[in-house]
Amino acid sequence: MFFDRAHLQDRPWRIYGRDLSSRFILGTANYPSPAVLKEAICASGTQMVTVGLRRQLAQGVEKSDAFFSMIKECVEENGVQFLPNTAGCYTAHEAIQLAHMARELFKTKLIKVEVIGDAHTLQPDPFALLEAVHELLKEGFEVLPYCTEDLVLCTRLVEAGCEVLMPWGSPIGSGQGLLNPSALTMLRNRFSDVLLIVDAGLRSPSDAAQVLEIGFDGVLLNTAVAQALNPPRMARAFKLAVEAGREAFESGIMTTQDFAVPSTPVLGRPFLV
Amino acid sequence: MTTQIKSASSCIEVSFNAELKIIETMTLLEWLDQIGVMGDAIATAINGQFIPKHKRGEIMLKHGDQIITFKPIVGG
Repeated sequence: MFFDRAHLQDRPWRIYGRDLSSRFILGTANYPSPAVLKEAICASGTQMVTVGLRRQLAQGVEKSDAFFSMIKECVEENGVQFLPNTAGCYTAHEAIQLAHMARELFKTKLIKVEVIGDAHTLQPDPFALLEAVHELLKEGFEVLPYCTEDLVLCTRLVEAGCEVLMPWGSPIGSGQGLLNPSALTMLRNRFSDVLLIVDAGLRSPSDAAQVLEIGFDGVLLNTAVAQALNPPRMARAFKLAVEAGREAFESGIMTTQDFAVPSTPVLGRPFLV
Repeated sequence: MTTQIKSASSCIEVSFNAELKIIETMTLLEWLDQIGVMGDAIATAINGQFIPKHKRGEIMLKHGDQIITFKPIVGG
């Protein structure tokens, strides 16, 4: 089964009814400073940033909300939306509780559901993820599941009601790029009505371009920008790569062939009469 | 001069962000007010269950409760 390219090319970029122009979702963690983060957000042209929640320690209960103020300022200045995550959760119950907290604090129904199944690779737990997704969709959340590229899991997530799937490219923060591009292409082929975003593992802008070239709708990344020597410039590089990848996809990329085809029109051989 | 001593029975032991506290019986909202936490900037859970902001004034803390507060942070 192959996807309808024209259908994908014409489809608006819309996440749960939110029209967006940028196909680049940016994570906000691990930047050298809040000021650099703010610059990177501006340079990326993103309209959606990921945020998280962390439990506080008794000694560290902060009376101020400096981070919240900074990020809110950014939202107001750049029209950026929040995409809260459930990072750090290892059970469906934890993810559900955190999703409720995120909805209260960030005032959005959007939630990136992340339930980790393996502490070494941070690979999502497909069973707990599906359980959490079922419950959260029932409770009115707009769920973006962080998942693997497993076709059956993705099928179950779509059947549960997810309008978006976010398979990993490779483990979070690893910078290994796309480890299984053929499986991602398979997802594109099979789910032409579902938004597909690669989340995690990207290293360089060419990885992002590749994601868009195979027909994915967007990318979500953090470390590749945050850990760059110059995060704002890297954010801009990814922005351009995402645009280039999408432009290439919409233009219709040529098919590969096993044989050579001369690009210069010739008639026979130049010196052989 | 009369010294008022709280009876032991009016006090309970709770865990607040993993630290044991002996407090008077009160609601979650009263506890947060007492320690000066900005209620709008945090989310709360008791015994692993989310407590919405509008319910904090109704939830009476009980002996052994585990109260956890969460704050927004950066995330990927």
